[in-house]
Amino acid sequence: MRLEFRDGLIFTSLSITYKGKIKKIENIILDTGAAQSIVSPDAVEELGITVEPDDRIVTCYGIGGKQYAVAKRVNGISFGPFKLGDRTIDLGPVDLDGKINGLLGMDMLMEVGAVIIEMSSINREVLFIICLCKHPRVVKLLVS
Amino acid sequence: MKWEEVLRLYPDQFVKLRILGSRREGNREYVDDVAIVRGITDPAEVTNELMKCRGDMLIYHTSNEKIILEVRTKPGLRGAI
Repeated sequence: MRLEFRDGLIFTSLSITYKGKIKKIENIILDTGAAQSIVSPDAVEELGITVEPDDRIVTCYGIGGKQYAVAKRVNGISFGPFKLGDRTIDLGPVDLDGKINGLLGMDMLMEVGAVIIEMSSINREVLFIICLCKHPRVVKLLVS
Repeated sequence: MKWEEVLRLYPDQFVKLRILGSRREGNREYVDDVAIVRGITDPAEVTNELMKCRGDMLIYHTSNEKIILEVRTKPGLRGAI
């Protein structure tokens, strides 16, 4: 799984499968401060995902005020080695400049049991690993 | 205007509206009082219009007997850039 630290954020990519089509989306932020993952509708336009009459509309209060997204059912989402099946994902505005196409949030990170390694501890004798799972914890490893 | 009245006047279509009255229960917002801006008959317009909505503006379809919005309380980076 390619992760890139840029502009103070961790960028990655994810792929969405919808009605037999698959689209890889770049410039997704790994965001442990987001409870729900979200993807910009522009980024999935070619999959033909649009708002339909019985779709669930969700609202969120961000710094930009109240905004809306649609909880859309897709056939699968994958990132790195992880493959998640049929589910809903929020489609909504993420970044007006279009530099960020979505947020990989805690819902999906927890589901795959992601592990975050504290970067400053790399190459030292002690490695701290943050495990994101039902009981999040920090694991301390002694590196020989 | 009450949503029931909107259902009668604008059957089976998306409408652009302004929320005048709503109540929040848990992570749900129930909207009952609205002002209609216009009906939207072109489905291609709907996604873009909804994404442009801010504050009290909303796009909703009148096949839904009630307007129920799910509230996301920890949106992360959303809207912050």
